[in-house]
Amino acid sequence: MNSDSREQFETLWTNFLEGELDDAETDLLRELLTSDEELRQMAIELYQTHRLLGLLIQEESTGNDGFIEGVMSEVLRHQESFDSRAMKRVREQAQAQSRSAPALVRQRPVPSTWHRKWMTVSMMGISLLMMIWLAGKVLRDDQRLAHRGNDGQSTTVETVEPPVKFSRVAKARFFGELTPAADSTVTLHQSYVLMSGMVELLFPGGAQAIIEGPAVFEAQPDNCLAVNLGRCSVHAPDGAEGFRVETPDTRVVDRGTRFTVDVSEFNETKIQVVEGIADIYKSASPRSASRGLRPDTLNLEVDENEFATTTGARAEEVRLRSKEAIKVLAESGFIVTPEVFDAQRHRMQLPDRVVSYTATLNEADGKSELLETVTVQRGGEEVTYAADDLIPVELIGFRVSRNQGRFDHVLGGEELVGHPAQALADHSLVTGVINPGGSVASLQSSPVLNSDPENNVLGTPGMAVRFARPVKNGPGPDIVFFEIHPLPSPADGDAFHVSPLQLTSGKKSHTIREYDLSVNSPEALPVTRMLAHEAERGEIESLAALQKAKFSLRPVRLEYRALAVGIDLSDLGYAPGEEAEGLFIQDAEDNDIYVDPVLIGGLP
Amino acid sequence: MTDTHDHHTIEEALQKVRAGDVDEFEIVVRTFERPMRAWLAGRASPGIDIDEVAQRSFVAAFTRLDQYEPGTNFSAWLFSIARYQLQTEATRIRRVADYRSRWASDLLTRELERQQDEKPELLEMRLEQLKHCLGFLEDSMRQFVDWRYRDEISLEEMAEKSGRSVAAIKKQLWLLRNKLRECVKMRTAALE
Repeated sequence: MNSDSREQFETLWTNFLEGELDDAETDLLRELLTSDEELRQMAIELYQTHRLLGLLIQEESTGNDGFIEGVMSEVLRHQESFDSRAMKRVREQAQAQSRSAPALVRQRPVPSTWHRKWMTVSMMGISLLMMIWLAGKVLRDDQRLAHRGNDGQSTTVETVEPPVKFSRVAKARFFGELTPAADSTVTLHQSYVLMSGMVELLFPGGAQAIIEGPAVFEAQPDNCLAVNLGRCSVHAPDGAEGFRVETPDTRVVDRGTRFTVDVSEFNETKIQVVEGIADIYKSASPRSASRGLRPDTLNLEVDENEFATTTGARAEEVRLRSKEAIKVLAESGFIVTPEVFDAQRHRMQLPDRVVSYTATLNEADGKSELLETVTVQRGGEEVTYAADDLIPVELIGFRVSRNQGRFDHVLGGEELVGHPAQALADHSLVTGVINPGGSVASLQSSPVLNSDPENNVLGTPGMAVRFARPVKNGPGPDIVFFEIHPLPSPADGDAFHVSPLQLTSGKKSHTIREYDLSVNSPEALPVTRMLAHEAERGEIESLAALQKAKFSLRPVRLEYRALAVGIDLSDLGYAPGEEAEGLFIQDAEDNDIYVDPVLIGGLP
Repeated sequence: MTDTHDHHTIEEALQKVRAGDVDEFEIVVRTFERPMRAWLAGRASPGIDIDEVAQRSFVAAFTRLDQYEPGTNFSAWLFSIARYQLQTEATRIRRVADYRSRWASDLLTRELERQQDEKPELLEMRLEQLKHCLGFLEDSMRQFVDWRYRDEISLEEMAEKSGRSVAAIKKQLWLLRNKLRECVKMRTAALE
């Protein structure tokens, strides 16, 4: 070692330990260490000194009790695992014996109800999702069994890290399970089949991934998302670099970036980088051809040599930069072809929508009664409004569209208080004017509001409301619409058409078939007891008739939830900033259940 | 690492854990916590959180306790688990590292693995010697140890606090580490 190289080493090694080594210095340091055994030894000793210093100072500052408590806490958490280990080993041995007969692997028990569902589902898309999900499940089970070392000791352990969360959920429906609540924990190694809608996952390292249904995905330890089908848009902010997306054929490693991964059912994976850098590798799993999820990262048996030491040195390793896109086809080899970059494919955030609401709880049954706040995402920002801040509505028109059978039109307390139409203007989620008329087709011309049956002037079936003051068309939803919906029910919520009061100058009707908070959403709260006011004469042809109608009261026995959806005036043809005086609402008549509005409010 | 007395204590504790008294596992953790962390600190490549690996190792030992044959060498068994855990973490870190940082991880891992015959006790001894050496440091140098390893402040902040340039701070850190390295080396050699 000469003095020059020693001086260089001093600077470079200190920079390395301080995380300040730039690319040129890296190359220089590598040359120095490669050629000088003495320097290498010194580097190791300095490195060990550096790490031991960290440990020593930690001991001085906090002692070792914190560590011991942490370990014991984890040990206690794993007590059940320990207790059941003997039985687990018996099961594993039984499964291992089964695996010796290949045909039995495919006959691995599937929960019978799921199997029956799978057999009966006619939609090809659902079948496909299920097949991929089942394949992933079987392969993961196999991989877990395969983790046992030659000496009979398993080399896998459960990881210890903060949970992955469903940070946001938008109209998500899963196969075989309830929609998770926002901020709930994602179960690691569980294959989720997202039928429709979107979810945003937040990983412990800070990376966010928006997954759009249909998709099959699985969260894995160590900041990893496995996507077997579907599209995910990833944002890894500073500090979240290293986040990985595993697909059946590729591994995408984030280097501080936004990127999109799109896995098709035809073994194609499209990857594009919106900003920053991402490295793409051929998947480590030898089972990738059969579309299984790769083994988890704790498996020591993964072949290290599948990864080249230099990014880009082999075809299996590709570095993508901003605005670059590729398609990977891995059926025969690992074929990478350029793809057209499409910024629209990357989703920066979940759609604007009603996110959640809060309500007072009835003292008798602890269920929701009066709206307190509603949180709406508008233009990407979540805003919470107090119920008092909402712009209330006045009912100015009403007509049913069928005249036979029993029909409830008002919800409320045991006695009607004042004007029946006022039941829609208060903050209550259990009072409203329900079952308005409808039409299969949405309006193409202005609705007739001034119904006068005596003079043969019939109003348009539906209901008209006017806001206490005009509602301005802002970003995202401008109006919140609540309806009650029973459990169980064949639909997630009652579809309806919504139109301006006057269909002129570019205005149009819009049909809402999905609620932001549907029956499946944990955020759609169960509501307290209601009394339905049943019109003694079923046919209510005008608002005047509704006001004069005689009602008999009956309790509502089914459990209901208050669903919510945001209405964007842009969908009705309003220009940004333009104001709406009111709305016309019609049931979409897609089934026998009519829409049941309980609260409509304009956003200030 | 563990004398005969400890050995009996550990075996008794393990027996009680198997019988369902999970709290007895704390004896195991308290006995091996320091040598385990010292061993990991001396063996782990950059980016690895040694406490995380140590915790996983203890938990893995607990959940696989039925695989340990009572009366044999628990310490060796535990450290073999830790070695696997360290390899796993190193593999993970290596995969997520980019090329530029991966070489350093590779180099250090290779060099550290060349010393794999070193007994775990040796690193605990180095840790103890380092503690002694730290006691001999001048206050001005000790201040940098605290800033860097306890407070974890940036080089720029250290420069501001001490009224020196960042380059001077780097030089100071070099001198500090090298001095401690030589001190530990000398004391360890004297003991061997």
